[in-house]
Amino acid sequence: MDPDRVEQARSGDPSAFEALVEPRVGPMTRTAMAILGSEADARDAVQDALITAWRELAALRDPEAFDAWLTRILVNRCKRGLRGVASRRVREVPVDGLVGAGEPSGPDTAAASLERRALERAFERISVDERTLLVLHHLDGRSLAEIASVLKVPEGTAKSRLFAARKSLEKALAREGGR
Amino acid sequence: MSVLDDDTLRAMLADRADRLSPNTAGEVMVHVRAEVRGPRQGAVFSVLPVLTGRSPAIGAGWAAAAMIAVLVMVMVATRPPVAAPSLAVTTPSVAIGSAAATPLPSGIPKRTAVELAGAHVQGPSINPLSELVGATAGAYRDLATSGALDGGVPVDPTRLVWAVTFTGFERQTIYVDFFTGAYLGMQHDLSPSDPAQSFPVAAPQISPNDLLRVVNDGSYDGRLVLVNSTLRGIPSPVCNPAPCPPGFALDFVGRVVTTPNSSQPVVPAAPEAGSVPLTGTFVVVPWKGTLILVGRMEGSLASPVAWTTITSGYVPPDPGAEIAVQAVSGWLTRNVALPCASVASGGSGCGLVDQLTDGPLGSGGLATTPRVDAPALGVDATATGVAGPFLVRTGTGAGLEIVGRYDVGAYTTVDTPTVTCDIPADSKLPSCDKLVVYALQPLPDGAEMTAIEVHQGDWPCPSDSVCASAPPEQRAWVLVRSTSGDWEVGLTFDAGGYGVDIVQIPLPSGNPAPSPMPATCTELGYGQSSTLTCGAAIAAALKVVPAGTAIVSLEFGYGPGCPTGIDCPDLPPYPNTGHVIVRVAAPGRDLLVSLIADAGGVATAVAPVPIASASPLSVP
Repeated sequence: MDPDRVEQARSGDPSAFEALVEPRVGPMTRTAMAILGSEADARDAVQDALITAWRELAALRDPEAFDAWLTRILVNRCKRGLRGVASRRVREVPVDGLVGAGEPSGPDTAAASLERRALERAFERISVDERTLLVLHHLDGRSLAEIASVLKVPEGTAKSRLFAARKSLEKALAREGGR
Repeated sequence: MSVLDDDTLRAMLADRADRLSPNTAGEVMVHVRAEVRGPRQGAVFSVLPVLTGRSPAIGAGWAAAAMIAVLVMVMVATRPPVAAPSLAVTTPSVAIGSAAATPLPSGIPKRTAVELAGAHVQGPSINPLSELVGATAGAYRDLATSGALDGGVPVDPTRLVWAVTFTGFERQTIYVDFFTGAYLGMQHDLSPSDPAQSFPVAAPQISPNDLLRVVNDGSYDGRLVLVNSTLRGIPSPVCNPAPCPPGFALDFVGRVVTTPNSSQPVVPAAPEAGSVPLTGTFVVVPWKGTLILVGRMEGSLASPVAWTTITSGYVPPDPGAEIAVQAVSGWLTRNVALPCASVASGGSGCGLVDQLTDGPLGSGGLATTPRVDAPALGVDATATGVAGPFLVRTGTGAGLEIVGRYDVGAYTTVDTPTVTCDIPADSKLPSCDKLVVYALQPLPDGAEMTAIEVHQGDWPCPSDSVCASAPPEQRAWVLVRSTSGDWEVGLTFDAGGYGVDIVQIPLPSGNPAPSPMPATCTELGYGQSSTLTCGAAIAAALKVVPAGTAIVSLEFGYGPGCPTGIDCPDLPPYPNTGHVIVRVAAPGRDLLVSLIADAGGVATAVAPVPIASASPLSVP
């Protein structure tokens, strides 16, 4: 984190903003992809989050909070994006995950692959808020304190929500026939 | 069920995150967007691409470097203008005339289109009364009919943002170049090819008294009004020359007419004793001091059906059957030359006819020949082709009859008071309708009634009044709830059912001072700013909540906020939007009111959407 660069960007310096967000674009896209599951939606979410960040940057009081602030914008954008696609969601069966000719396969590999797909379907079943918590913690490796900062909730709340998200995923997985 | 282990979960999430397509070397997608301030704000705008290029590889096993590009920035007067360098823009080509009018797949989100166009809606070239109801990016099919905007301005459909505004029945479509933010032009009287492309905006609601006012002052002339009420046939008025046609009246609204040429004014009225009461949603149009009854609504205006849907199941009704109105999509082409050869092959005739098709004439599909009411509301008699949706009437014996064009969002609703009747079937008292008429006579003018209950039996009437000595079966009492307070009206009848006494008593809770309702307000975080305030939002929300709603509490939050499974209005982005959840006493009747504030902080609310109690909201 470079507070000086945040200050420059806040004052309207686009090159400073560019330097600030460039290393974050990839991780942001990955986070959005994990939450949304659609590349187009993920890229839109990141693009939109960056534009919102630029637009609202002048109002950011604490430069040290830039990362959490930016992540929060992204997460909110993902939530909105997901709501929009909720009505047209279809259940997709990925053909590339099926055991096919030319692939080294065996009972264990096939079982693991099926289990992985069941888990992902279960993940699709839980709410976007729950998905977000799991992604921030298990994929991005954020601590409870960092998650609390992103979501702007007390750390204890973040902990209980993460626990509840995990339980929801386990229930959904059970309905999918996994585990 | 065993516990899900962290490694499996982490691996699944990583696999899901890494499913991004690899970017082709040297090919960088550039999404260019501009945001402008409208002329009203007096700001300048320009375009700045901020970042292009590739990010480094992300994470082990990620097949390709993630790309990104992005930005086009808000260049407002407070920020230094930067010369725009040349851009290599990769956007899909969408031909004008495309049937789908598809938003650009890699292009700007719909709500940004709303922002972009919204800035121009506030400009001086646009009617200030216009209400922006929708905007999207991509080709606009109606341009196929003219090839260019008014004035011959050529348009590149891949960089087009168009927005639809309404002012009553006048529609303006505004075109903006989303690369430069430049205002390209405007067309009148066009509609999107697909009604779903527009955002339906919940209709504003007015009271029956307001309806009478706008009928008399002409401010709603030509606009659609949907009245939830009961229609009754009423005795013919005395007129010259006799005989007069039978009359109709809507409860709590008054007399309605069936033809625009009628000279019968709308008369404020409680329910009139009449024949064949018909309850439902009635489409009426104020016109020169009268209220024209178009028909009873079937289906939903928010979801126009394809015309083929109603024609496939259409059976000509018996004369005198109920007149029904439905919103249907399609294209109306006037004065189509029908070959005379079709007569020989069983066609209905030759010459010039009007045709309703599911796309522009010549684009394929089936056609039907409706009767077009002259003049049909909102249909330009001189236009060759008019895009729907339309209001189509059936049941008149004239087949399908287009009575007007229906613009999504350009209608108003009126809810009349609910009447509940608790009179035994074997009662010797007059009918419920008549009891309501009697009971409302002594009430003060201007009282906006919200609910009426009719009961038979004991009622604590004053000891010195006639009713005190009458047996319960000859007594009725009517509870009237109104915005001016609550009243009880005691009615006493003799053994023959003739009224002998009326006592009107305001209830102790009548005309109560509005008690403060508990409200909770969320705050913007991380230094975000918004012109929308909690107080303004709640005040605006209360204006659109139906009168008489028993509100328990109010909850305000920023952002659109929308329960899962509810079709909420699509609003421009955070942070100048918000929502108010109205918790009501009746279980399962909570309401969600969406709001948007302008730059000056003036909040506008759209009509409430019902939600289940304690619905989980997806609130940003």
